[in-house]
Amino acid sequence: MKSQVLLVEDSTSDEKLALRAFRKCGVEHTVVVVRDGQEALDYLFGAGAYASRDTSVLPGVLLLDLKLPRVDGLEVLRRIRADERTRLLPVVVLTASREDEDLVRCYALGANAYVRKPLDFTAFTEAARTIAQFWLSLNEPAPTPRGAP
Amino acid sequence: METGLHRLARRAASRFCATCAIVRLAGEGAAPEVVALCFPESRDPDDDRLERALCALASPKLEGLLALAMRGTLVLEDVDRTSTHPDEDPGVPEGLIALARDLDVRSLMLVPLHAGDGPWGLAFLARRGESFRAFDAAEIAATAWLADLFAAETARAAATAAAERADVALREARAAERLFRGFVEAAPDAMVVVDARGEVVLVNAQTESLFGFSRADLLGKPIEILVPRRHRPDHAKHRDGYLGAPKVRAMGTGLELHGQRQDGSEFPIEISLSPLETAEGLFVSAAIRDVTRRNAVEAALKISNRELEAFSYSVAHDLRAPLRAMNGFAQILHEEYQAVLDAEGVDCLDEIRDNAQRMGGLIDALLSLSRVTRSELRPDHVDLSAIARACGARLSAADPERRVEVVVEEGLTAYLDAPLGRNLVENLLGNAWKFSAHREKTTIEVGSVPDQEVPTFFVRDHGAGFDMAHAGKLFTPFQRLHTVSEYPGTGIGLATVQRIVHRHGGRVWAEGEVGRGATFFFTLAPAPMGAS
Repeated sequence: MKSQVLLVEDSTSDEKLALRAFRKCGVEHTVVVVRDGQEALDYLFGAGAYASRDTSVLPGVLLLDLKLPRVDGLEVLRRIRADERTRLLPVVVLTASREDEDLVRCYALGANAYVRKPLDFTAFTEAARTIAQFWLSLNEPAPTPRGAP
Repeated sequence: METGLHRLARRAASRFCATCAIVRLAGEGAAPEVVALCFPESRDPDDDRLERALCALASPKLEGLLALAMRGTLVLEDVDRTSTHPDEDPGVPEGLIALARDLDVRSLMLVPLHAGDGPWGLAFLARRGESFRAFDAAEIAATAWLADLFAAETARAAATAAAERADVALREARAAERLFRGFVEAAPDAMVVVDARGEVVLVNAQTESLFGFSRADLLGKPIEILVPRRHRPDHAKHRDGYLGAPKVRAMGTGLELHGQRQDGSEFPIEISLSPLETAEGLFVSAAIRDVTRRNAVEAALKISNRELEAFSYSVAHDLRAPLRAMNGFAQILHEEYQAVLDAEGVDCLDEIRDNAQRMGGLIDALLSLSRVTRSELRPDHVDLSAIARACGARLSAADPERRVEVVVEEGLTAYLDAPLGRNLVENLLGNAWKFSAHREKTTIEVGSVPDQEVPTFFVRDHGAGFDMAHAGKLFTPFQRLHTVSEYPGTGIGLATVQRIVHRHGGRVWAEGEVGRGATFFFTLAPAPMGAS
């Protein structure tokens, strides 16, 4: 089964742009979109609306914005890293923030990459392509965690 | 002393029934001076003349009187009838005899007067007129009484004068001490003076109110009484260290110092120390300031800065997100729907995208300006020459077409935050580089202005320059003196320069002329004492 991209994005505009960018590089059918940090955690840990989801299937990469409703990006990252099941999940922070402090905090919490969303759509498409190619094709993810079925 | 001598002259005039003049012979070359003069009870009309004549003794006629005075009492009888007695008394000055004769002095005694160890002057005892009588043996012997009386009188006067001088000195010393204590009391800070053993010798009222101790509780006690208990052993060690190398300085720079009140409570303080070298030994004066309120203000400022940070963060994220969407969708329209748009429609889309991108640039510039204000200052000695040279090299490498010589003065150092210092130089050099772009070949100079009270630096170009009438607008964010098409940019560089300079306690200004170039000057606060 082909790896998924889990995109956490609260802005429908950004979501549309992201999906369009992924479609351009041919990965749109594997992109799952959730609206906020809580939904992302529910999806990953099979809770709430995703209680029936098979949590043994992890996305190939999580694209995480920092400013999110309910549970913000940094908290999502903290909880993912604290849980045995998602400790090794590749997380790419995809954000508008240019603050050095955010960069440092994200890496300190175990983010695998940090990408600033470019203003220019062509550049954004290029960034989406690079991310998809690297994390879904080139990168070797960690084996399925212990305890998972 | 003069009144004492007048009394003496009066007593002598009465005792000898003669005119008595007490004359000070100040020494070789100096004129004799009549200090006191008294006439016998039977004053005759001619006495006024005598007085005038004696007062006129300040004449070379009496040269040699001093030598004469050393030889003991001299008695001259029948002065009017005697010739000059050159054989008997070659030391008697001719002038004296002439004077005596002129004034009708018949009998004259000159009594040497000594003060302390040395000769002082003479007492003249003169009898005049037809009814005079010669000085008898008892009277001649009594001149010794006069000399003794004079010696006693001068000794008493000298003692009085010495006592007065001592009294004046004491009063002056007391006044100086009152002044010193007045200053200490009036000082806005708590002042504590400690001797070399670390014992309190002086405190002011502010010390009492700040620490809750009375003066009596503190005087003679080790200074550690004001130090929180847990710091006392260390404080005693630091105190000895300071006494080894005393100089004016802030205490415990960078440390949070606390004082302890009498009730045991602690409060944050700031202390400056000054050594006092005195005849009684080394003392150290400490000015202590309660910084509770200042700390509270600083804490409030920190909170407000955090809020500002949150605001900037929100600007970064929230303003950019819709902008990116606008730009992105305009671009999609442009790329994928060009077929259904005419040329004007495509042009409108281009306008939307250009403006969205420009707004993105402005938001980024605003954020970078706010970062300059928010970043924590870590000042250090920074080599501005090296920074300027590296920056010039980068500009040349990025723009190899241009022929710009960047001339940097050697040894420019400043005390400032290194990343902000680089930002400052990069902005000023970048500005100079940009605005001399229309010159075929040009020079940019980086240097310092000599002999200024505070370190003063400049960056000079020979480019477009500006009208001094607009000099005030140069440093305002987003203010531009040229159109974007002439010289690209967001109008944030010089505003950034100004913020960096202001954060370092300096000043920035510019001088320029249209078409002749511009010079940007900036000052920085000098490094604090002891900054390494």
